Amino acid sequence: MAVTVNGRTETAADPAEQATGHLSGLLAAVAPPEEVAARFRAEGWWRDETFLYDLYRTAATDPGRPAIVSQRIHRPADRRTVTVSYAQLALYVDRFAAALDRLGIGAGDPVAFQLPSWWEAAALTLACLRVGALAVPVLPTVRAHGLERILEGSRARICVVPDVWEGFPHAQALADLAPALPWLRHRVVIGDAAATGALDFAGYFQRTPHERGPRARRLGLRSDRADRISLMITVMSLGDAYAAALHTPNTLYANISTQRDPAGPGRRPGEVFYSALPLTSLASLLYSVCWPLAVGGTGVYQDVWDPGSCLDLMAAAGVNQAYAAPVYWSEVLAAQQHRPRELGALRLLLSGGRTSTPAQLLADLPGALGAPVRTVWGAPELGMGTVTRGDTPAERNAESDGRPLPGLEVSVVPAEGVGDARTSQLRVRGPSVCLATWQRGGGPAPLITWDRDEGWLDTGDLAKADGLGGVQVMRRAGERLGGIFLVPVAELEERLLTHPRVREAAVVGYVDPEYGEMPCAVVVPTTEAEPPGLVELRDHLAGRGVAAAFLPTRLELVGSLPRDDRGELRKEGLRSWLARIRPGVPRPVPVPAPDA
Amino acid sequence: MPVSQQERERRHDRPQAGPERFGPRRSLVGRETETVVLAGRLRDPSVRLLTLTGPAGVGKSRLAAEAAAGAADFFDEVRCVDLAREALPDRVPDGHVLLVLDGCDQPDVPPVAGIGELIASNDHLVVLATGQEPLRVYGERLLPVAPLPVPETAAAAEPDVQEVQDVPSVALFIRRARDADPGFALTAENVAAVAEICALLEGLPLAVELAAGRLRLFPPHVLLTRLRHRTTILAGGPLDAPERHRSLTALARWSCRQLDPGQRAHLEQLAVFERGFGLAMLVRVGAEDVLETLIDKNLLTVVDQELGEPRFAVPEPVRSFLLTELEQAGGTDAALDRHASEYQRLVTATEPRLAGTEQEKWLGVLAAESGNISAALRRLRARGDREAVAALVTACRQPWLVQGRLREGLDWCDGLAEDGPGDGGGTLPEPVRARLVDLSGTFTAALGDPDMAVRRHRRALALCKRLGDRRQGALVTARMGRALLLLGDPSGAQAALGPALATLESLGAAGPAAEAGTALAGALRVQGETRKGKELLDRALDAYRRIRDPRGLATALRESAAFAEDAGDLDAADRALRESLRLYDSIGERTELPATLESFALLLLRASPGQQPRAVRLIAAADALRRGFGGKVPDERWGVLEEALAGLRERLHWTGFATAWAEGLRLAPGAAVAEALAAAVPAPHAEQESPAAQPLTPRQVQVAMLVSEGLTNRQIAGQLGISEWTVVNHVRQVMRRLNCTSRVQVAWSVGRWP
Repeated sequence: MAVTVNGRTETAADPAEQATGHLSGLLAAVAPPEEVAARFRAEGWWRDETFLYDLYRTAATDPGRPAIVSQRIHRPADRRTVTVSYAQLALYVDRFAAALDRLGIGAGDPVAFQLPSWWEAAALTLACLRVGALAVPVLPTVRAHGLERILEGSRARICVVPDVWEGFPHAQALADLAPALPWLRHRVVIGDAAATGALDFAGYFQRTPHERGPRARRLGLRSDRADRISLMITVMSLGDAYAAALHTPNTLYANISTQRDPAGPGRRPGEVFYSALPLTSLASLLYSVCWPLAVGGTGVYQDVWDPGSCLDLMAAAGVNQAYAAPVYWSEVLAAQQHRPRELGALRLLLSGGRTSTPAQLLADLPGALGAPVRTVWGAPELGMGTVTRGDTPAERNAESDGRPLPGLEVSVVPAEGVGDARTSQLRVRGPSVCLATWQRGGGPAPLITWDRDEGWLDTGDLAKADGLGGVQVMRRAGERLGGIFLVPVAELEERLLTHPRVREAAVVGYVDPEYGEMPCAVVVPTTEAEPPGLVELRDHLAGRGVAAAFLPTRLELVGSLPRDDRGELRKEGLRSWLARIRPGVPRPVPVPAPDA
Repeated sequence: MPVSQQERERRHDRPQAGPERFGPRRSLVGRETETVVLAGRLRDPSVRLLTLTGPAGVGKSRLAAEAAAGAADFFDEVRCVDLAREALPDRVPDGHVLLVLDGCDQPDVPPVAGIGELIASNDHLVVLATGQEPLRVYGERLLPVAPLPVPETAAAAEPDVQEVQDVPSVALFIRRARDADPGFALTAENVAAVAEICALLEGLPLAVELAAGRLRLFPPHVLLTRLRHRTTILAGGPLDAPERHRSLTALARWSCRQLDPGQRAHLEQLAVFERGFGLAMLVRVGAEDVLETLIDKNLLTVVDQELGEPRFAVPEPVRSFLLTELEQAGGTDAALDRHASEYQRLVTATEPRLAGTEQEKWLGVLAAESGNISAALRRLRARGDREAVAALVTACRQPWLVQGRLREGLDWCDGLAEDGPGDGGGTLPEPVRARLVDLSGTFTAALGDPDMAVRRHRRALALCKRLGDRRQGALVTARMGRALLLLGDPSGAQAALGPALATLESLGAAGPAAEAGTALAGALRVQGETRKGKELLDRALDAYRRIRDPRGLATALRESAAFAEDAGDLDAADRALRESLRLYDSIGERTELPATLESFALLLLRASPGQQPRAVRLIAAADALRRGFGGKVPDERWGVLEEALAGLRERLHWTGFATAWAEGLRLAPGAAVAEALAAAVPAPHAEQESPAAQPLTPRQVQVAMLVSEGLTNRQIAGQLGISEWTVVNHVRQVMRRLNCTSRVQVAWSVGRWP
């Protein structure tokens, strides 16, 4: 046979091939300049180990210690909490890695998994690291259309899904997509795999002792993996577009190694971490998988969000620190006020991420839960960016998002045409910044962070200096609707107001399960009895020159728009309100203004 | 008790045992996991005594020294005692102390009681011991240390330098080879030899180091040849190392020193076994009683634990050492004879069970024991017992076909046929010779040389005729027919298969009749006699299902898929091929698997156009499998594959194609089957309605033009420089796509072609 191929030829891709998004070959060689890497190592921000070293070390020292406490709400009450010890997790990671190897998955091959917050997702992430594969976690809310884009773009060789989750037939959806996904080699299903002819996760991954197979021992721990891209975080956006951030174990580790404030998240040995976000998000992978491993502690998560069971779980598992977005915390606060739980072990709450935390919530949480709150700002490109110290009035008033983590450089230099005089693009550079980003639908090839702008990366957020050595994030990338195909929000709002039956209008993004982020018009009608309809408004806008791609696909009618005390629209509140209401369900009032 | 940094350094500034006593410490090769786990275990407060166990020369002392250095921060004091040079200390300092006791298996050290007392004397003492076997002290924790992983040598015909150099045993070899010869590098020229050396030495670090040191005398391939005989030729370790570390003979002698004569005798008997013998064999030679002792002392290793029954091996260099000792004591012949007769018994007892419901299980046993069966054959031949060899070889027909040991089988057949009288063995009886020649034809056909196979079968047939054995004659005729079909002579095949089938049916030989029926059906299909062929095939399928012969059934199913595909029923073809793949996978088939994988890949290209990379992977996997057993693609299939691959190369671009191809080459047989079965079942209405709607390929247009000019298949083949068989295939495709039933119609249709 004329074709002889070794692993190296992949990098000789022609530009046409790169345009089709062939990642693995390109990513093998991505690294920051040597002197930068050397400096990060000298500072202790990066290391010559991966989280697997942490896992095996703790498994040897204290095999019975819980690595994961995961709550599965659909199981019988007495078996709802699944505890996975370090010894078990280490064994499962070995087994899953050998199973992947046996399926022909090798270094650089992308492995996607769209799973609820189950321990299997954590073990799979680590197993990918073990074989050198690229883990591609997908949020459970992504629907067929988005999943297809992610699988197609990443060229995932394997995709692991539950049979049915939250009423959505994931296995069937994947089976329907499969014939059109040339690079997808295996569909793996947790649950009923036979129905869709997929590989059974329980049978093949969990119950077959692949780790005892002849090839398994060859999968050694490799310290060079610490600098190989091993995680692809995708952020769905408008239509077909999505952005991806490509991380190495060391860019993730830099979130942890730089935590020097012992009163902050810190690195206290053996701590128990809870995260409310889906496990397949970067925030949760960092906070409830990597972080516990690095300190020999425990990660706690639940597969269905519920504020009451969250509190019960935190109490039962002895959670020391917990992270959630503000919208979750406000529900937890209400649940705790309704029926207080004893949370003696809890020492720190983290709030924020992609959204800012209202001042009132900041004020109420510590009393109710018995632990101080720090707010954080983060982004898929770097994990945790800034964290407050919890002691300045500006922070208490939600006017500061705190200081960058040590080692992270943050630039808020105003640029032409972006923001007003005081706000500007929030750019970052440092050990935790991902090594490459990739904009599917925006640009053809991955953008290598350290090849451009001396390592500076634009997060897409807008910020200003808070005057205290930190930053205040003014607008998140998500607010610029559609991330990539920027929807001209101001223009849309302006033109909506020209409709005779619209008194006030706001345009906010919402995530459509099928098509990703889309624009929604939130309108206060002039007369309540005669509100405008969606079709009517779309025609109106189209008649005024708005492009079809930017027309709102959803309309919500409200009595008034939430505004802060300066009269500015509280879009964040609107967006989380939109995210939580379902079609055909009575609408509550959008998050009230603080004084309401 | 806190200790100053300076003090700590002073205490550590003592000579370390082991080969690297001067110069900066070099990191251990391939011990990342062990280092991490050992560091973790030493930090477990409940661990007071931790013993590193493993065969001599595995690197326990180095690992312990590494761990001691790494644990300096955790303990107040670290003390290392080399029990070969020093006595067990009477007492240890107070405080959190790590005491490393290297070499607890010294002949004259009874350390158990002493260690117990030491541990009792200091509540914060942790003892890290090393030894060939556990100390058996209460509360002892164990950490077994295994030899380094070795590269796969059997699977890939051409090992890849990039892949092999990262395997720890090879990495160690390279490092040590550079110490002996600074110019050494792993290249495409020496990679196969180096990989095999490391595999031969079973990854034992000391043996690998000694072998690498020999590179100043011999290049790798010469070294390999010398090692193949006995690994114990390796010597020349550093003069300042302990005596047992200077040569593998000394190492092995030292490892065996504590055996009593009974254990030793058992181990010597087991040493003549090849790697991977089963528990049943161990029991048969009466070694069951010493099993646990030998495993504990690391003189017997359990290999391939994953598959149900455990399998065993006497590790190198112990095996080579014992074989040498056995030879010197004059016990070799007896031990080898015992081994050979046990395997004769196994194969004979198994043969009747290979046809029925237990086929899967017994084929598995024979596959696992295949190395030992070959060894038994070699012994029988050396003894000059040619009839026994012949009997064993003919009994190995089915297992060798399944395992793809075709070249080996062919060599045995030819060797037996060639050895004339006068070499001490006498002439083989004619019926036996007839069977051997026939068998050699079967192996030749399976290797992809139907021409030679036909000739061999003809010779066998001539012998049978002379003997008047109807059954055997019919069997041979049927096999010849099959070879003729592969050769591209369907009418010749039909002429042979028809009568053979009738005879076999009349003799009530269900299995062979089904085999002949399947082949005849194939011959009829190719000649367009679809209805009659299908009837025959259905009968064969029924017969195979009735007698539960998975291998035969799988072959018949592949043929039935071809029928279905010709009829345009892609669903049925898909179902049949999937079942065929599953069956082959269940028996560990090698020889016939590539062809089924290729058929599936070609069907996939027709039914699911979005699955091109998968098709490439499957074809690559089939190619690698076939090269693994030294076979080649039959010409008729090659034309079709070549065309499909050319199309795939174009559609996937070079990078995509190369990526998928490389992925396919990596697939083990089981994984290749899984890869095929993971393809989505084509939607029922995928393409069925319109074979006619598909445009002809350029080659098919060419063929169609020539058909319309009235040329015969042979003439077309001559003109286009392709085989007649390929032309037949093209014409069939053309007729189907143009919806024609005759060549004349093709001429009409081609007239309308733009």
